[in-house]
Amino acid sequence: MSEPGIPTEWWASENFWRKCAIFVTGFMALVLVLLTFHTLTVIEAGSEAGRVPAYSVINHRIGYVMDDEKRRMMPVIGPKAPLFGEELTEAEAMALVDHGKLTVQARNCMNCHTILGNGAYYAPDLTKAWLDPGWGNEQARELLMTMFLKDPPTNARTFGTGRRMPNQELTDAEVRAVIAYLKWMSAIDTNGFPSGFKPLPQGPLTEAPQSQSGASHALGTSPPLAQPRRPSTKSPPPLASAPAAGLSMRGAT
Amino acid sequence: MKIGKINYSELSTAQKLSVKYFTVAMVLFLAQLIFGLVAAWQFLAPDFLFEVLDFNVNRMVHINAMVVWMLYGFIGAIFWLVEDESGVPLVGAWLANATFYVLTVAVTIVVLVYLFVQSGPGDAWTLWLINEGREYIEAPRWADIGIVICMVAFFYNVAGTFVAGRWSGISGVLVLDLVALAGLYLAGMFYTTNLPMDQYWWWWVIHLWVEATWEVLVGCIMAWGLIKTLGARRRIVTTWLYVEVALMFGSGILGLGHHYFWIGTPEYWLGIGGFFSALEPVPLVAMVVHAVYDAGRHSFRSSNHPALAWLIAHAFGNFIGAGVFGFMQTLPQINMFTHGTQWSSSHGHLAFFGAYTTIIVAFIYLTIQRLRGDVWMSGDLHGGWRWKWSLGLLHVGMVGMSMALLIAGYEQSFIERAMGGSTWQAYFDGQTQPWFIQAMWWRMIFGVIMTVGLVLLLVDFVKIGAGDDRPIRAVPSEAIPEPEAQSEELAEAAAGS
Amino acid sequence: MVEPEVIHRVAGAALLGGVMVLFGAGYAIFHALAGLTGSRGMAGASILSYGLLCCCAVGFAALLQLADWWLALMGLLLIGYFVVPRFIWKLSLAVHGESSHINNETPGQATAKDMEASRHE
Repeated sequence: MSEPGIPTEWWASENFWRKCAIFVTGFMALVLVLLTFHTLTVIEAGSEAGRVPAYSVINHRIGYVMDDEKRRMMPVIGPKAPLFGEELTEAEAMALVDHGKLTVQARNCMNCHTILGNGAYYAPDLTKAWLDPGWGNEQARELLMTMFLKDPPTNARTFGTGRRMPNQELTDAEVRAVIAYLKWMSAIDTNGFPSGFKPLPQGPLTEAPQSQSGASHALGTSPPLAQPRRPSTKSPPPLASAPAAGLSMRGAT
Repeated sequence: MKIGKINYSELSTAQKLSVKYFTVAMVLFLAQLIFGLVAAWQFLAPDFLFEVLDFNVNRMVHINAMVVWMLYGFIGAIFWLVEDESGVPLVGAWLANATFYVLTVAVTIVVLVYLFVQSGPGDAWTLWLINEGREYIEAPRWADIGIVICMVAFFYNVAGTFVAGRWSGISGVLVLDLVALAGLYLAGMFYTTNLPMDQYWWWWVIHLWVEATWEVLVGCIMAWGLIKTLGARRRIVTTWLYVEVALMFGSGILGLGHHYFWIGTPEYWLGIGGFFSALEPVPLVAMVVHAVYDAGRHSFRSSNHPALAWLIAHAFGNFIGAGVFGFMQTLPQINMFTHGTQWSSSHGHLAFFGAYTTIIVAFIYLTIQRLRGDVWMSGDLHGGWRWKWSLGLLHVGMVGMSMALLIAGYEQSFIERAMGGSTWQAYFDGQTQPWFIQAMWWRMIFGVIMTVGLVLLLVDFVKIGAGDDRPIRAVPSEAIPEPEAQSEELAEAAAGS
Repeated sequence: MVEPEVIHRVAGAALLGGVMVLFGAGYAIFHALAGLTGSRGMAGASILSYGLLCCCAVGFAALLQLADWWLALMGLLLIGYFVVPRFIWKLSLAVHGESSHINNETPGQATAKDMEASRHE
């Protein structure tokens, strides 16, 4: 392809840059594929890495606290606190969360809300919706969430914006499933996003050791969830400030 | 060819297809702006069309119309250049025509279902028939499959034509890029309960389309355009295309990592994503050097002023929208506070417009010039104010809107993220601040300005060159006769057609 | 809750980051113009732009309290912003068949002459 008439340096030739383009693209794609293989094992629900919890995490209390070692906020899996008072097996929990996610997709929630920070900006982020202090306290939360989702326009607190959530005509089963999905979502380790978030007041995130064996038994393949996953977490969930969280992500690799 | 008249019947099959694709693209562009305006108005008057046409529906149509019209624009451009570049008539013309109608009918059905059915029960049927509920790729699964089939047909038309004719550097890159483009779409076509897994693959489609394969597609289209409109030498253009591919894919593929900061993926993505996306503006800056070099070496005596103006807008828009606005929030330390606020929206608006709208509009002007029988489109155009004003209004609207959103975003990250700790109360506190509300008003005003600009642009598309009997200004060739056998062939082919 | 001071630093860094890229473009444009016209002023403006870019980068790193990996990244960016436009300039000359050394001896004059020549062709 090179022109005989015009001398070009080898490093400026069409041929050289074609090879460069192919090599660079191939190499980067290969690195991405290798990283993808690794990431996919890490983000398996309930995997050893503990970033994405098993679905049965909805049987437990979930906290969000400052991790002093990592210098960012992390979710903590506390003692048993089954959703709607009903303890589920991993398979049942998965089916419930699955129904919830299907419902959230089917009702196109993401084009008003953000989910893990992605989506639209017309309504609040849902990442920590389960832990939002707006629900008042742990005891009232499930009831309030259910009431709200059943009839959002009537129960809307628009905080002066006038923006109400339209009635999605959710069935009772869909409401429960959506709440389960949100509870599971709040336990995903999102590298400290959102920063400085203060969860609603909840009971302790640690418990007496005797109930642990039973809990990890029921969870099957998942890691022992009954004890706090993070070594350095403190209870109760701190309301203290999270100074410069996220600003100190040094040496992340 | 009659100069100044519509010469549609004298276009080749592929060129006729381009005109069709561009027409639908412009209809969808208008739809994008109208639904954008409705959604913007709902920020100011939340009761407007409440439970009739809610924000999520308008916003979905707004962004879907954009994705689809841009794809239509790319397809149109490729059909326009495929015969010229390969030197033979389009292979599978009947199939190409059928694909256009099937695709357009499918898009229409999808939009109608979005508007009138809107959502469904939380089961797999909804995902198959109504809406997948995943931003940007909401199209239901049946449409996904249809899109893939249409893309395969399109790929057959394009690759088949090059196989029947001749290959070049540009067509080689183009065809490989189309394979990647279609292949990546498959990554967004499955359902999983696992949300991080879902978003992981979802970004493969969105990011690797928008920040990698689309960029390269635009590179191919521009390369061809430069040869045709400015008489740039093929060897040089092709070499630069390869340089661009190396730089774009070199930084863009792993730049994907900047979407993996907060979705549950491992911490190493903070480092990788931050690193490669910080590098992403460097190629954009470097390319500025080449643009200046080219502009300095060749006095621009363009044969198509509007197209050239939009190409320059492309160079600036891509650099500012993607480069400057992108880098501002690309490091995780900053992104933590800006991600998912109006900052993202500001960056998104400016980057999509600067990188893609501009280039497609430029290409449409080239198409119209040919459609009008190679009419004069240089200086002193009849009604030349129209293209200048539409260009100006669209840019004023877009820049104003992005700045308004940036201010809103700043306010949001301050009040909601930093002060309020991202609770719902904090979110709404941010949304009710006077700065935020004023920014939303300004966004609305600039949105209207942009819409006026678009209407004027569409009028100009219809009117430009009409009744003008001056022939196109001869393309100033790059002075040196092409020694390549390839370009002689091209010249013969051009003379033949 | 994060201290207001932190978010001001973050916002300041974002602004500086954007300006930094703009100075990167300024450096690149002036460098290319210096090569085309041989103007010393352009060459000076190019160096000035790069200097301001460095200032922005230092401010950026200080505001975000960058360390280790991130500091190394900033160093690499500074090198990249300096080297890549220069390389692209040389590549522009070389790809167009102009030997790159033309430009090194009394920059500008040769190039300007060269431009004339190519116009006449």
